[in-house]
Amino acid sequence: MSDRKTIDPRIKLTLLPIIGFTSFFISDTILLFVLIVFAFFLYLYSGMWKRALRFILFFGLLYCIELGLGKFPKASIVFAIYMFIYFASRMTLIAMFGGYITKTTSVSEMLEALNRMKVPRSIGIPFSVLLRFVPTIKIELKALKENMKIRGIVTSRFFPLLHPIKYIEYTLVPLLMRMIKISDELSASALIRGLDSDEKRVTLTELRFRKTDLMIGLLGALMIAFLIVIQKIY
Amino acid sequence: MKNKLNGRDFITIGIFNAIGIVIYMAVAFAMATTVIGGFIASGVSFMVAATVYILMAVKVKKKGVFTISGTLLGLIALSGGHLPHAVFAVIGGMICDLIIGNYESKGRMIIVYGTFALADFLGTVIPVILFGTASFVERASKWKMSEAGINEALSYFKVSWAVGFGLITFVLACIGAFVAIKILKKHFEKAGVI
Repeated sequence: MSDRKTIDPRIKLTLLPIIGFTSFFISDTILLFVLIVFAFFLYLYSGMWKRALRFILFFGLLYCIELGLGKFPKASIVFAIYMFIYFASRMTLIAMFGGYITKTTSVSEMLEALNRMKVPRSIGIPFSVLLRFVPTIKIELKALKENMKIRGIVTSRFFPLLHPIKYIEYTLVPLLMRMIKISDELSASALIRGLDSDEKRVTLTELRFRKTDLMIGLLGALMIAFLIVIQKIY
Repeated sequence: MKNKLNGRDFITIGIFNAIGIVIYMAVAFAMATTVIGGFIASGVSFMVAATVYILMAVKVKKKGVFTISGTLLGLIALSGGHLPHAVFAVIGGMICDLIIGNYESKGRMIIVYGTFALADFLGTVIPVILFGTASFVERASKWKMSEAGINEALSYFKVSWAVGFGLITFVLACIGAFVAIKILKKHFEKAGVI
């Protein structure tokens, strides 16, 4: 994580809500490509261009479907699909930025950034735990699915559709059991490092506002302003 | 001192909220693709996620659990650009903390969970009712939707509908909480984890 170049977490955390807000405000999908290019630039900066390309391909696919749907405006089912595409393309954009944040920010960086932004600890700690925990949940779910297959509980691919309540119970209860265990372990390891102390915390994480951070932040702000102006004029 | 949240509780709240929000996103995203499903999305997703939230509340048993949960949900919503959703989630969490008392009464817990879901529902629906109509008409006319189709979709954007769906959300969440308490009794109390 440390050898990877990245921008200041404070800028990331400020840009994300603004980008989310703008992406719903802009109704033409073609304009969103500007934001996508910006996100691609960020990924490139951190050296994760393969992941970024996947996002861009998906977004392009969605845009092609949207263009294709414009050819058949009469049927009412088209509108439902259009709504779906509309939400999916925005969600892809937000997921792209969110994924960037979770991939490039370590817990200590996030904690320190939130601390400097004067976010109270009661929000800061759960929030950074939450962000780092989504990948763990994915791993646990995968293990659970394999386990259910091995024990012969889930025999067919359609089990979740045929017995939704059973499926939810069989997934949720073991998952929560694991999570209780993990939360105990995690809090033990965090408490031993003095998470609970009332003293002012110092960290080894270097968090400085460099020129590149400022430039990227300004670039993002400029792009968003540019988009809004175009949308207003158009 | 005993009733104050400490570092251990913060981590527990963070982890359980992670699961809750993942479930919420998955179910709500699946539901919100249709116009009518969007209105019961928060009800159904909170029904599924009830076990997570009730387990968290029972495990921590201190004042402030729902306020923090609401704020976290609000922060996630804010990163998606939904400002009213965030405000309502925080306010709903605060109200829930006022109602819940000392986590003894099961009925109170069910009502609190219903309120939490209701606040989330209001956060998603009120902006739609206030601002949605205009932008929806604009968007629909761009897509050359038929007049009848627009009127049909607009008939959902009414206050009476919002109240009705709010009640449905509340009831769904209460059912979820009721089932969650049963599940806790069946699985977790026996295992001795709470």
